[in-house]
Amino acid sequence: MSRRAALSLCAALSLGVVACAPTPRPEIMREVDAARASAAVQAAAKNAPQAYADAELRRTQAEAAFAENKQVSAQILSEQALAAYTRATVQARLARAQAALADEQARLTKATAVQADLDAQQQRFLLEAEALETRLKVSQDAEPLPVNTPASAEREQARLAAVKALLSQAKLLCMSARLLEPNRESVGPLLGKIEDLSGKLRAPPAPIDDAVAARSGCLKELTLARRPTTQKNPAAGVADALLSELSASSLLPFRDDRGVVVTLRALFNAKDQLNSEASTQLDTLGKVAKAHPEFPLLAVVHVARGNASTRDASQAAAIADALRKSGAPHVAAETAGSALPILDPSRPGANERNARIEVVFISPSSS
Amino acid sequence: MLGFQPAAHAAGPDPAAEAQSLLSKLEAPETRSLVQAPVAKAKAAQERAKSARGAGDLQHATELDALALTWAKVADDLRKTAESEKKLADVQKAVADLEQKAVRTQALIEQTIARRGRAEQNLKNAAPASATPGKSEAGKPSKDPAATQVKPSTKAVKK
Repeated sequence: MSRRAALSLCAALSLGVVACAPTPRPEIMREVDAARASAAVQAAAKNAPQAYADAELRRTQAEAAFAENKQVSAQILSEQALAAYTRATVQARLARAQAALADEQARLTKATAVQADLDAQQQRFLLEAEALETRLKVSQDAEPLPVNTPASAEREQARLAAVKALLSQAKLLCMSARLLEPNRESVGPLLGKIEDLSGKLRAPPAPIDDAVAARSGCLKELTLARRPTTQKNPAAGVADALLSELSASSLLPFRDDRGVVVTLRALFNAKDQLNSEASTQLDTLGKVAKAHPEFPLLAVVHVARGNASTRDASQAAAIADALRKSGAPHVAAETAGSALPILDPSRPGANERNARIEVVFISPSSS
Repeated sequence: MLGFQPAAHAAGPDPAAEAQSLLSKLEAPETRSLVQAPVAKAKAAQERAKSARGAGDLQHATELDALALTWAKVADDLRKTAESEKKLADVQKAVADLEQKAVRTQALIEQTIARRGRAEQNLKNAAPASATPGKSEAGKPSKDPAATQVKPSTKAVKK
């Protein structure tokens, strides 16, 4: 064999060996294998199984392309698989974040409710503590009332007049409380006590301390009867509004503990019947009361001298009837005799001033 | 669990257009740095697809379009994840703040209960004191402990 022929044979054999050698696996496929084996991708297989399945499909396709000796497709499909594994890990992270977010939002809702409950509790305890502190302060600031001992005859006479006035005021205050809250149980005993005290005025000493206590008790009852309405709307100013309305009607109203008071005079003619001017005035007041049903009316007949008579009572009833006819929904009538004069009865012209009818719009609120 | 995202190569009718649309959305400055790496890979795949298409190699161009779309989706998922994680951090902070506030409120409640208890006790102690007979105008003790008169407080007088 010639040297040339030997070289040709060697070259042919070498080409044959090279042609039969397996194609080297691309670097990207090793990267895919490494990524697939990583902990992040294995975790993604659980948290994002569909994205993981997509990546697996592409890896399989890449392997198939490689087996078919489609090198370029194997390279590109492997790159796709690598991207898909990356995506699976990102989606797993997203799934974890969303699950944690749902948990945290549930915790937030619960924590918000707990906080609202705690705020309400704190507010309640604070109000209770402040109320007790106020009571304590009131108790510490209170001064004992002096006890009035029997005095001279002249002084006893003056005390008697004061007791009559206090008892009359107490009765009117208790009646006002009852008009606002008809079922208020504590008013009845107070009215009974007032009746008892009124029976003890014939002989000295005048029960001045008891009369003061009775008036305080009735004022307290009226305040308590008003409390729910006042607390509902502390800034309402309903009595002020009514006062303005009545002032605009030239009825010269004023305010006292009971509410808004309109004073009327000379309502009855010689036959003890309401005169026409009186009917007009009462009609106006009745219509105002109808427009403000939250204000019950108390009509009080005051005379210049002496105690309340049956004539006073029938006049009071006639006034109450007239107010009802004009639309006033809640009306009570009372006679006060001469216990609450405006002027000293001994002064000239006092009788004309002291004899009067008071129509009281009982204020439903302390505001 | 997240919904299945079909394989990029089997995605919408035009993976190239879909990838481009996603990449345009990811151009926002607030997300740019976050998605920089996958977006760069998606753009590189787009370039390679363009070259393959220019050379008439349509099959590999299509595969490269799918690759670009997959990286674009990775970038988009990263953006969504970052949003969720930020929201999660915000809610966690709100919960932590509320829990701290609850602890403080609980302490405040205990203080207030103690304050109420002290006031209650002081009131009980004060009750016998206020019931101590007052001096009458004749120097005699009052018979009725409730017969007291409230004097206006300094505060009220100032008003």
